[in-house]
Amino acid sequence: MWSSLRLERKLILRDRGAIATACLLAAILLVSFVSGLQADRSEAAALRSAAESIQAEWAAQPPKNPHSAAHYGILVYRPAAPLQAIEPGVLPYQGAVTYLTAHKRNAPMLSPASVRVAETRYGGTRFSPLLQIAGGFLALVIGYLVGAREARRGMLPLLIGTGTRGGAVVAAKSVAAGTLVLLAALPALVLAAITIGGGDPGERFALLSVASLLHLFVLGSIGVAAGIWLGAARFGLAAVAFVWAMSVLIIPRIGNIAAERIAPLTQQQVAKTIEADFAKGPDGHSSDSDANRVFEQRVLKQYGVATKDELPVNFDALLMQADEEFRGSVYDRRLAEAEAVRERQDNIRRSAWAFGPTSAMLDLSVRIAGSDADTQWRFDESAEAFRRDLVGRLNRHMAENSETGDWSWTPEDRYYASFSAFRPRTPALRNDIDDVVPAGLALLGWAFAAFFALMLTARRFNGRAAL
Amino acid sequence: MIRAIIKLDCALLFRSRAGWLLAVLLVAAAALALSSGLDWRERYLGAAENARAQVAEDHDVLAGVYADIESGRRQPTNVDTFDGNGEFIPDPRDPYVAGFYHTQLAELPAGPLLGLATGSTELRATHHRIKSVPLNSLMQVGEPAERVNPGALAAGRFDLLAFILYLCPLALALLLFDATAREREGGLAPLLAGLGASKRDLLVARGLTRGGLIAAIAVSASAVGIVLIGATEPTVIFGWIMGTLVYLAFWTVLLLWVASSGLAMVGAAAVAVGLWVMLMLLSPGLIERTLRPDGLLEPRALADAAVRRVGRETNANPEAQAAAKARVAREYWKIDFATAPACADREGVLTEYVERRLSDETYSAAIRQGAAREAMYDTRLDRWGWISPALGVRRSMESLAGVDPARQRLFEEQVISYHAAWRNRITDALFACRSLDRAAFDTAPRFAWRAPGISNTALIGIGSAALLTLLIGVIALRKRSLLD
Repeated sequence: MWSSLRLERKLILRDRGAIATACLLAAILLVSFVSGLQADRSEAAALRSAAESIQAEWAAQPPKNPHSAAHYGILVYRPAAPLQAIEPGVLPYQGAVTYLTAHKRNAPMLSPASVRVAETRYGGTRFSPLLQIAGGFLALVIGYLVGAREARRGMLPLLIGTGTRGGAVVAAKSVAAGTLVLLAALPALVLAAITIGGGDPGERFALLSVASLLHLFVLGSIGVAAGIWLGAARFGLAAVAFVWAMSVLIIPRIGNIAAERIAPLTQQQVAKTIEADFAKGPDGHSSDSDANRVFEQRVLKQYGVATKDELPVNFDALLMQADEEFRGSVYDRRLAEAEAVRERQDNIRRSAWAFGPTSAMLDLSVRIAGSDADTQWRFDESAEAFRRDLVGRLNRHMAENSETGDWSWTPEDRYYASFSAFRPRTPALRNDIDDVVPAGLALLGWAFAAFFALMLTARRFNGRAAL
Repeated sequence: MIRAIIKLDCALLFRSRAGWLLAVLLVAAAALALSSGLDWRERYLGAAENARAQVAEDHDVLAGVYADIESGRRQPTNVDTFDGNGEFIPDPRDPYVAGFYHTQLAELPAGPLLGLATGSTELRATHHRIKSVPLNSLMQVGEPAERVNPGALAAGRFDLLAFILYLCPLALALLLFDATAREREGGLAPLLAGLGASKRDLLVARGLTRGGLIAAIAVSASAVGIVLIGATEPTVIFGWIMGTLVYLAFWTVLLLWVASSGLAMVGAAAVAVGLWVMLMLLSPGLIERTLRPDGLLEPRALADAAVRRVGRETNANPEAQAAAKARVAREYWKIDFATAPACADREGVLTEYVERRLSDETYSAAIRQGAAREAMYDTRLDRWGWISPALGVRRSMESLAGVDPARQRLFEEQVISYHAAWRNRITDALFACRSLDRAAFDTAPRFAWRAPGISNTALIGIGSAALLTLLIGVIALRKRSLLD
């Protein structure tokens, strides 16, 4: 085994093709990391600056009725994900700003990708997608070149003749290919680790690095196995590359098409059901509806009075709040249903993981980095919780301090400055770990498959030797 | 000689099980790509149809209100004397009230070949409901017309353009990497050379048969797609087909160049596949990243805060309100209230319209500033996109299909202008003390999309790919012996 390893080390150092491929990988990763770090800074700064300006405008509002302030509303901005600079995931394609106002839950708008719409969505330019896509491909090629060396040069019978066991050959080749890939990825990984630092981002990066190296090692091993099996075949490398390209670029998108067909979801579907449900509840800006009358009777009964004018609170504000709460429950139900369809689509999209480890790794990378669809959903949810708290506070303040029909009442000076800014919960890896498990298991499954492929290859090698 | 080799190669391909498998896989992938693209077209049209139905519903409701007022069944509220108590019955004849209730639809029609390419249509709003309310409340910029799974959206749609751009070159790489190495390593080269065949003959024949096979599949799929979406614009159809042929010709000559290099079979395969990875997966993104200007998101992200600041400053106190009114009257409305009829000077209404006008000017300036940055990015990509033919040709084909960002920016600009005209119609009526009766409501001008002509982007990408094809073709196909 050790002699096989020493031999492989010598041979790989003399293999200009493999060394050039590894150097290319190292250069690509370094360039992508450095350019990725710069890429998000101005966008993140723009969103931060906009959030501060909007908060200042909210605080500086002139005296006005609280419900008018609720309609004036506020915009909240999505904070950057922990590892967004190296793995932006789905976030550039999702709205980064939500306009919060009374009676309505608006969808996030202004996605960063909407202003750079010309850009390609195949391939990748950020560190982690490049590490998985280009790095994975080059690891496969390096593995293939290392695996196929003897077969390609017609020296396989000579190697068999030395009495070397298949296990030792396969293990030495896998370790050599894996080490070369690791060395190629190491400079960028170390630079990234130093830049990212510790804390939650550091933990995420450590996990991402381990998973990425496992992914590269799996592909390198598959390459070695394919090289030993197909090394002498004319179409060997081209066939391996074609299968890889299909598994990374085409099959996941076919999965997307299937997901849309099997679990369809359209904006108009969701909007229609929400509109239909709204008609059944109280309406804060309409004087005449069955639901409003029912609500009025309940309030009168609760306060033990006969008319709205006898109420010690402002009925209009209570009605606004009832409207808010009813609509909130409608949004919760219907958007949760839409979210369930989205999750079903994601489960269907996962079928692509069966065709290669890279699509599972890409999903894992996005989830570890906290830049997945669940992160966007959590932003949407926390913005909505903030909206409800804000509007509820405004409505209650109006109800408790003014009389029914009095829309001219305004609260005390600096009242609006007493509201704190939107600060969603800081994401933590331990909270996201459940999302990481499925893709992590898929990657482990591929690691076992690669190990099994290497074992089969070693057995085939021994079988040839026996012949 | 070339004809003889073509015959031989056709026979080889016909008998090759791998060749058949590849052809079947490609045809199936093309069918999937078409189905996915057409599905998106259907959803795009469905969203537009839905928006049209909503606006038509609003029109019907308002027509009913007009009829009720005319017949005396409804007594509308006077907005100038309404104190907030009691039921408010809108009077759409009052221009101020009409500003809230008269709704028009501004719709970006589907591009001529939407369905064959998706482009940026998933990322930007494709219709807006226009009223005379502040522009920023209408234009939810960045909100696409349809909900798409976030993961699928980030990955990009597999449409016919993706099939042509990504899968066809990969198939060509598989078919052409051993265009000469096969004969050389199989010991057939001396035999062929003895029969008078040169390396160029072999490369041209292989290029025509194998490149022709892939091109035939791509063009046939395009033709089916064009028929299915009912495209009728001959220039666009011609451009699409030419773009497809030029792009595949580029890949064919590039791979023939690799094949002509004398590399061994494994080396040729590695270089061919490496070229595909470099040109398809790495270079477009790297070029885009390098050319992308800063400040693309800033104007839009900061626009709402700027609008709020304008509103606050305008309404800070009565003096500020009066000064703002005087400024807007002078700069935009061109009206002198001292000589205008008294009914033109409705204080509460004009206070609101002063703020709207200033906020619209602020917001539209921000949107235009953002659009100018995006246009600058586009210009840079036009100038340097030829470095990566995949990038240049993609931009050309998207432009031809009408799914490019420039078209969406033009739509946004037209929406801003239409909204301004709609708002001015209301202020003109206010200053002329005119009421907007049923006839004015029915004959209100609709939004009319003014489509752009064929852009430079469409020509540059395809043109530069054609030039590169010629250049590489000359180098790859220079006359050499098969034994070199």
